[in-house]
Amino acid sequence: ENNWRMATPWSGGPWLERDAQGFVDHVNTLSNGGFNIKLFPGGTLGSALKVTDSVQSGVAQISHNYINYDYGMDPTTALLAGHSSGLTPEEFMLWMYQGGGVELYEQYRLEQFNVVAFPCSILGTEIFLHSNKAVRTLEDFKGLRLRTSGAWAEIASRLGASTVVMAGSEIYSALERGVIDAAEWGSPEMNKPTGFQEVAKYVIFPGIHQSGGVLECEVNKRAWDKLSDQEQNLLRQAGKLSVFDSWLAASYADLDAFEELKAGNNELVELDPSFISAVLKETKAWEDSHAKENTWFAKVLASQRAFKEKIQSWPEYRLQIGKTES
Amino acid sequence: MRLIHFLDGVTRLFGALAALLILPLTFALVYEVFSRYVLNQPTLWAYEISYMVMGALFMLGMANALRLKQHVSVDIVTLHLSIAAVAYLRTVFYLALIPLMFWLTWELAHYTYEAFVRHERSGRSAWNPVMWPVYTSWFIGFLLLALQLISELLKNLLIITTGKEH
Amino acid sequence: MGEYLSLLMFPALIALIFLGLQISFAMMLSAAAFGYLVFENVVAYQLLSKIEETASNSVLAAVPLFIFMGAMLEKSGIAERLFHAIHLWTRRLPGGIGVGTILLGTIFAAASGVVGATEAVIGLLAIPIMLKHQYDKRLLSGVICASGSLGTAIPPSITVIVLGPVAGVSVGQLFNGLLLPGLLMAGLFILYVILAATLKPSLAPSDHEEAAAVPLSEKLKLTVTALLPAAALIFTVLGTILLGLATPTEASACGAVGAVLLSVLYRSCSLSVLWESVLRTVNISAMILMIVMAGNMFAGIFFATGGMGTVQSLLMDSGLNRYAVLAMILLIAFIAGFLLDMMSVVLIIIPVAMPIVRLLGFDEIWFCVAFLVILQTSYLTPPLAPSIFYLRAISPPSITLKHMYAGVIPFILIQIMVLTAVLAIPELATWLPEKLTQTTWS
Ligand code: NA
Ligand code: NA
Repeated sequence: ENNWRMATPWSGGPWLERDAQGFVDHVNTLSNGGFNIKLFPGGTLGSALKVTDSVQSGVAQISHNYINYDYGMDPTTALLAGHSSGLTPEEFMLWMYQGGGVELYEQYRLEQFNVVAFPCSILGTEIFLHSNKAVRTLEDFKGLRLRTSGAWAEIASRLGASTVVMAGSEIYSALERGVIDAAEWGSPEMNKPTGFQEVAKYVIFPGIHQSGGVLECEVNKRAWDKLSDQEQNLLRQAGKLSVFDSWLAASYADLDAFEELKAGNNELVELDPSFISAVLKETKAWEDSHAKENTWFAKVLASQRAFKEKIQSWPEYRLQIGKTES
Repeated sequence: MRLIHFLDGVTRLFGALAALLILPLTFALVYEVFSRYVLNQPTLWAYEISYMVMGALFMLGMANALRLKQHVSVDIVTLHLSIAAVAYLRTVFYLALIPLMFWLTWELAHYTYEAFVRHERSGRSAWNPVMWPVYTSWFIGFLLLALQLISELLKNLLIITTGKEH
Repeated sequence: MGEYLSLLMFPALIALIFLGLQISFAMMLSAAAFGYLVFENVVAYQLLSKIEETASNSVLAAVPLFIFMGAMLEKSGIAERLFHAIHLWTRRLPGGIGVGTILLGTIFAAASGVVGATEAVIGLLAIPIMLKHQYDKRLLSGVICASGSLGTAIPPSITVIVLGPVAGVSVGQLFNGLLLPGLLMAGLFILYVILAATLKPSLAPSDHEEAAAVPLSEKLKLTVTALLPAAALIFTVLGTILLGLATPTEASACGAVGAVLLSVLYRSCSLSVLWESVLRTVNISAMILMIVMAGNMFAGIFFATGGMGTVQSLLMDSGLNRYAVLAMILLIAFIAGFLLDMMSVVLIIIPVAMPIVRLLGFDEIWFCVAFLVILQTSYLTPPLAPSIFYLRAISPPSITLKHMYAGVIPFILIQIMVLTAVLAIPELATWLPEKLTQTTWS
């Protein structure tokens, strides 16, 4: 029996209680006692922000993680995590399982980080901003004091926003008192308990800075090699099943949370298509500059761009989700 | 003992260095506020500098705080014990702590080296600086702490052998 | 056997501490020893990750910055002038300086997210003055610890902001929920000091003769030269936050610069004052931050070795009624708060406790408010009390642990009164959030 510890960055909320726990439950029950995985919240098996280290070192045999936390190691992680003008949740699933994404993902993680990794949850489209200034166009975005981090901090700066960096725990007060104009966090469901909607008047969407994303499971290489083919397959399949579960559950929860925002006191603002194109243009320039000097970045980017090219014809023969009544 | 003097001297020196770090820490954050409101341009570096300098002054200051007996302990029981008995207790504790601190120092050295080789960056801001200089300060901090523990151990051994405080 | 092994961590730690080992070392040593039993060699990585978490946490920069401000104000004599002015105006009020200290504590609590920073700055400012006025050392200790503890309840408390998303409760509603209990607490603290000083004047002697001799013109002059500049400094800290100019961490840096400028204005700034202040700052900061770091190590290992899981299953399978389970959770938080940084307690207990609380159908805001009041009480309660450890680091040896232990007792009783009130009258925590949920935008 494999008595494993699972590390996560999450200290609570649906990513811990629903997504990570869901994967654990699948593995524990489907393996018929072959696995006994115990889930640990963020910061209890090593640092919450360096879960990959915890898996490499063997403190945890497995993790439920967001690859974006390794952005400081390599910008390629942004493409796999989901970035601005990137793939939507549905596109991510198609690219991963049919477009060669899963294979690239596993190969990349193994080569660069010496862990075996595969998708374990899917992330919904985020809210673009909780803001005290309405943002529709690039003009509105210029000079906006925006709290963000990672790849989007770089691209938003290039677009003219004044990006401010501060600890996650300081955002609420900073937004309330006007130290910053705006902040981004996550999808409607994730943002609800942060209370940002109580201290910022405008809710701006769609989340072009993060149109979708993927959470992964990572397995320690030595622990993985000790497994039988059947056990390895079981983990991969449980990951796939959890991706589907999380897509269903998160989509529904986001729907409810967004309805609640609409019914509440905030003013909802939709981004102008010209702004969305501007983000796309700047993102492409950012991608191209990294692809020139980073072979893995170039490889993943090429695969994602080929997929995006292919899916262009989708709207021509598929009805848009949610639009069937109108 | 000359070793005690030497170790205490090194610790004192780094403690002074750590104390000076409070000035750049203050400057970085005040400049950020100034830059954001007067120049209307938040800096890319102030946030990164703030945690890096805070961490460095904390790590480099630990050993000197030990030398100055600043680390708090509960003396309710030990007040009723003889000086020698307390010295024996401390000796046992420090003998257990010294290997632990050297172990952590070694791990930090390894961690720093890896970050250097892999060009690990912070990933927190658009500045995205390399991390190995920060990790180096942590490594030095724990090395100093381990060495200062040796000095404290020797001081306790002196109490046991001579019956007097160093 | 393995399941219960980690529960032995607490007695082992307490033994080490009472044998006189420094608190931070005691936590590191017991974390390493028990961690080794489960993780063997990789325990070093576990500990290293806690070094990283603490040493790269930007919010903790407020600790050295606040202490630097306090040290400058003390060493340059500004604090003394400030309290002298306060004393002139409040000399008819029994325990006036104590009351002033608690008010100052409330203000700094509103300016700082980090509890230890609030207490250190209040202590640096107020201890020398209270000693000079021959305040009873027990009362003095209690006042400083209690003032410092207010940082938990009064916004922008980092503890609350971290608790919200982890518990799935709105941060804004939590702040609203804490407002009444927090004000009640500060009010009762002040009332206690006044009462104690009235009933037993020797606790807080007020020298009527000396003060009465000061003519009004002199009083006004002192007020303008001592009270107003200090008030301006406090405004630099609190005002920059309230006006949205700075985050609490940045505001503490502005306060530090303000203190330096003020001492230049008073011509009491010299290189030696500056040098002594930075040296003092770094020593106290290293001590406080090392307790935070070692606490993280201890908590991390306790959780990772299965301690919390054991506790959770014990609770779930206990068959106790819902109020008994609630009491158990609060008791565990109380014990964890003895040693650990409040944020660590939140991060460790809330993910385990929240599902149970929901299952039992308790109001979530109410539970979180009670939880925070418990943490604050634990911060004050001997024998293991962070408030007392921090106080020791900044107070002269003439104030002993015994003074501190005795001094905090009345304040703990007040905390327990407030806790009882919150538990018995849930509206104390839930009324304001319900009233204030309808945010309207101008
Ligand atoms: Na506060
Ligand atoms: Na306590």
